[in-house]
Amino acid sequence: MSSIPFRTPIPVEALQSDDRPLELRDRSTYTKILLRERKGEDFSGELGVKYGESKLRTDGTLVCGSRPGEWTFYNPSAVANSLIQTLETYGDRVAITNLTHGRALMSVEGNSAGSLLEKICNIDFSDAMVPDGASFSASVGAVSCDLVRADSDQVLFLLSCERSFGLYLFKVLADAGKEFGLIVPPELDLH
Amino acid sequence: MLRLPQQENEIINRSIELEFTWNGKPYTGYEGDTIASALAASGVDIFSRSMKYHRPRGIMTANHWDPGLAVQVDDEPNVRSGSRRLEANTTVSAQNVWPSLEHDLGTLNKAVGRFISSGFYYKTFMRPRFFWNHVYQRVLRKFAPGGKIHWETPSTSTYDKRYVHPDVLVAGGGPAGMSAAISAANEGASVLLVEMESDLGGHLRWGNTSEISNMKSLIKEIESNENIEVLTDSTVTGRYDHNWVSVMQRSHSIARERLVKARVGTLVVAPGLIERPYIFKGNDIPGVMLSGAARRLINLWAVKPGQRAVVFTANPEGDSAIGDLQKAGVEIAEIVDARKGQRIVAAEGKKRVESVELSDGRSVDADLVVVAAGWTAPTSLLNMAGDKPEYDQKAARYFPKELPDDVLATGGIVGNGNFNTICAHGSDTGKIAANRALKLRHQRQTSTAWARNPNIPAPERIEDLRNSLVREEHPECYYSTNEGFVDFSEDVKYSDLVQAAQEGFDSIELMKRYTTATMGPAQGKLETVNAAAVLANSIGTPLAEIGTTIWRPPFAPITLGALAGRIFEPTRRSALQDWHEEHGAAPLLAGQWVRPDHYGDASAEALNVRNNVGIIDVTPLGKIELQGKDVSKLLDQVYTNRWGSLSIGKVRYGVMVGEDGVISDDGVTGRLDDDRWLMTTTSSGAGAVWEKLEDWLQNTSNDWDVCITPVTGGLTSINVAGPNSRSLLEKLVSDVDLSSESFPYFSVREGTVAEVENCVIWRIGFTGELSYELHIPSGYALHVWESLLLAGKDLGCAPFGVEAQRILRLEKGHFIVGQDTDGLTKAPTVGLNNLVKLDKDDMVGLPELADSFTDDQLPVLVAVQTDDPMVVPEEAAQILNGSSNEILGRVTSSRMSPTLKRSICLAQVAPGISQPDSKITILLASGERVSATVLSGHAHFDPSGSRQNV
Repeated sequence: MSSIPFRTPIPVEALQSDDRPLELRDRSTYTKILLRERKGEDFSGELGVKYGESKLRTDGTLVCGSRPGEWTFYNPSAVANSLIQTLETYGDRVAITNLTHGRALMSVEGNSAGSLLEKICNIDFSDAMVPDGASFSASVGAVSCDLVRADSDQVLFLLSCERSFGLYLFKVLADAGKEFGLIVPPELDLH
Repeated sequence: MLRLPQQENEIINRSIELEFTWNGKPYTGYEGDTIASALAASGVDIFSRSMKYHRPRGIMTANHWDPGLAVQVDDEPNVRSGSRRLEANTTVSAQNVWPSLEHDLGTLNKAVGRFISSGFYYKTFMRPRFFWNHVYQRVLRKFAPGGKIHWETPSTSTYDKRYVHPDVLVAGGGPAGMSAAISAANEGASVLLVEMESDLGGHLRWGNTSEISNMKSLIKEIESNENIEVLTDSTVTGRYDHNWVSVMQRSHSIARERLVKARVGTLVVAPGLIERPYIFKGNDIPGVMLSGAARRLINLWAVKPGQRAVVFTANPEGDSAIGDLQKAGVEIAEIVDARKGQRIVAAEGKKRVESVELSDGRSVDADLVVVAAGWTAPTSLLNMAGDKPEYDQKAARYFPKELPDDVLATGGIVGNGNFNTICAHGSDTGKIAANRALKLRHQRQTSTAWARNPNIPAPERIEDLRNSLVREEHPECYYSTNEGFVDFSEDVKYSDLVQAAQEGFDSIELMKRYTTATMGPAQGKLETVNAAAVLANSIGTPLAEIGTTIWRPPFAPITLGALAGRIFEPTRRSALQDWHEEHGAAPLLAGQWVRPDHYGDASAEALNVRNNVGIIDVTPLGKIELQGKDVSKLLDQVYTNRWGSLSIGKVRYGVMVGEDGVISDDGVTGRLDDDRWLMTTTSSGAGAVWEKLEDWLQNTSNDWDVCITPVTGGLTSINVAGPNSRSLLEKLVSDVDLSSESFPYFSVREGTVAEVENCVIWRIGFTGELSYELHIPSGYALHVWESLLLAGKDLGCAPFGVEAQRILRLEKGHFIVGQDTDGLTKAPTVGLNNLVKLDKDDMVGLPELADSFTDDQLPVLVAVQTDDPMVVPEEAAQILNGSSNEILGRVTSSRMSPTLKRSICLAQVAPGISQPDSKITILLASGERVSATVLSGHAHFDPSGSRQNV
């Protein structure tokens, strides 16, 4: 199966600004695994990540406390099977769903990333309210999304949504990014 | 040309000239000019005609509120030229004048002026009633004020939206507002400072050298403070519950207007004061302007407002205007000092003031009347926060009374003072605002899971110990005679208000609605207090007891485009939609999904399914993964049938009903493992079903072990249908035995399709043919789709669209929830008696379902064929009782069947005509009635199921 190309819902890898450092990037190829504690279990201590937080593991997996009792694992590599095998060691205490194909994932990176998002999302993106590592859900451009702030050298937000909304959400983000210099080709114009 | 030599603090850039046209003639202005200042500098006196009497109107306030400065700019009507900055190459014109602004035939209205006084609409157009629709409305529309929308050309304006969450929002960028912003920011609060004018400074902008210097110091401090964001040319238009504050940002680089939705910790209201007009005969003639207007024209835009002026002054600001006028070379013909009891009685002139009549009987020649009669406190935002301002007779204006904890006021709106006392009050206000906001922020941080823990205690509350600003005495200057205009926007005169009071409309709210005073574009900012004063005088009541009209949002008019802002219309696309479009599929928007309706010939596509094999993208089909030990219990609750006995690898059809027993959704659910199930729903019902399942789990059975995950987009669904479907799949599926013995109808397997692992293969169908449904991990869906087409080349494999699928399912007689059912349809109507298990202990809608089976009057879903096979009744066509108009049902689905070569229908009919072979009458949209026959069962084609059960 490795020879079969994985197709994401977004036709470009990334869009950049011309003079200011801002990038919108498709990361839908990431492995995405959803883990939920079954009834009566408490897993937050076990994973070391509470609801609202995220932690980058040494293997490159970002563990996000997406909702109470629910965690999403993101990894840039195609490691779904091995990751699921690892998580299956928790046995009946958890429910595991592979969302790699089910969610589009993209990032907005740059110091104006928060300003870009506040055009289309009614969340307080100040550092105090959304610090590095914050994991939360919100409506972005009228699409239900999971967001994680996972700064690199600059501010970086990961956004994931149901796959079928992926292209639309990418266009919405691109449109909002125009104000901050993002160059958007006509085929990705929202209007 | 009335442009003055360079003024010390002018804001125009004389090195950049801007060309534009005004009523078809070329003009020039400078960068920094407003449209009005550029025209005034070019000697234009008349900018518009008044609404009712078409009187000439000129500059009165020279800012956003000016009632006489609404113009058309290109395709944008009702532009406020007093505040809109001039742009190069724009076409500016007067509105609602004919044949021209100078010679407007609308002035004939004044001849019938006595017939169009207040309330004339209500009196005049009552009778005859027939005339209202056919005559009055049409004629009155011709007189409607305002500009024109060019329907034939798309608007070039763009609009935007933004959310912000400042700790403190300061409404007003004058000295008090700026001081409040600085001190709040210095306390650590994030501050949004909003100023209606194009620059910060408030009245300091057109002040003396010392005032300008003070202003620059404050601005410098603001610019260097990272905690402060400034929005100029922006208006705080509303304050709503929990300090939700709306801001209209104009002239942004990417949008004409942007609606800023702010969730604010503390709102500081510092709008200053609005200068109010004075009522006397001729107070609307061009050349009569307020002192602030004269000072702005001179100091900001270097425009000489007239040659010879009479100045009516009741306050120091009026006195300052005298100095500015003299500096600009305007001859001061007379100073009329209200503090000494002096009054202006009338201004005379046709298109510009020519003379002024004073209360001592003298007449003075002048082309300019400058009025400084007092101030209106713009308390709108405070009213919206629940305050009911009180009138102070000595100060001749209203003051705030009681504000909620998260709203503070400062500056002129609460009192008077010199620069230092005003700034000190603003600064103290900013500190308190920051304290309250930071306390709230601390609370938000500690209660929001993803926020940073402040790790410090919440700040101690600072009590409000601000020194009150003094209320300086001011003469009550509202009117000098009983003539003149009160509301310049609506052409409401003093006499109109008196008449309204005499007719019994003697409360301010009734009078407002009867006369329309305060209801025009200025929205009461200039006329509310004067109107209240006239009413008080008319009915002999103190002004303090009159009250004011209620000021509601928006504070200033907002365009509909700005309210709409950025328009979000999410659309969903399957992983195959690009392929469909590349191969000529006609797009169909079904809910949020973009789908392939057909690839050119839906009938041919349907026939190919009947004869060979077709594949269709059915990804929008809702898919929900259910994991846990109690899944079957949940399914028992939400479906009408039983689920506990379903074995692994088997599939069952289920119907959901609401608490009212009405059918809400249907679909199949398969058991993949002991604790893992996959549910399918209708495309449109996927979200609602998910909510229903979660609702039941969270609110009724929260101890059940069930995890629900919607996976609709993650699994691309491909229906493979037709007699060759098994042969096709056998080429691509390596690890599942597809024979009818091993894999019979209503079974499900997990397997590999075209080398793609983790696919779900269903043996189900909707077309009446042997068929399979493949659920493919979406990242590999295109590979599988193309593999199917390639492998099926010799089997006649071709794609088919939604329209062909609708034909095929109708031939087979499968009903669609929402198409063949409606908001009243219960299970017996569609023949689901065997699927409803009324002996269950409990399920959603059980009592209503039980009741529905005792009702013998429910409509019945039947298959119907017209006697003339070529007639296809429209969907929703009525079914009548013979030649009468009694309605006995309706057609729910209809198509021309390419298989049967005749029209076919499903219909809901009254039970009396639901028996097979019953004759019914269908009323077509054309009015023609056609006869039809009821069939046995729902299927038009292969009722025995011999084609699908192979």
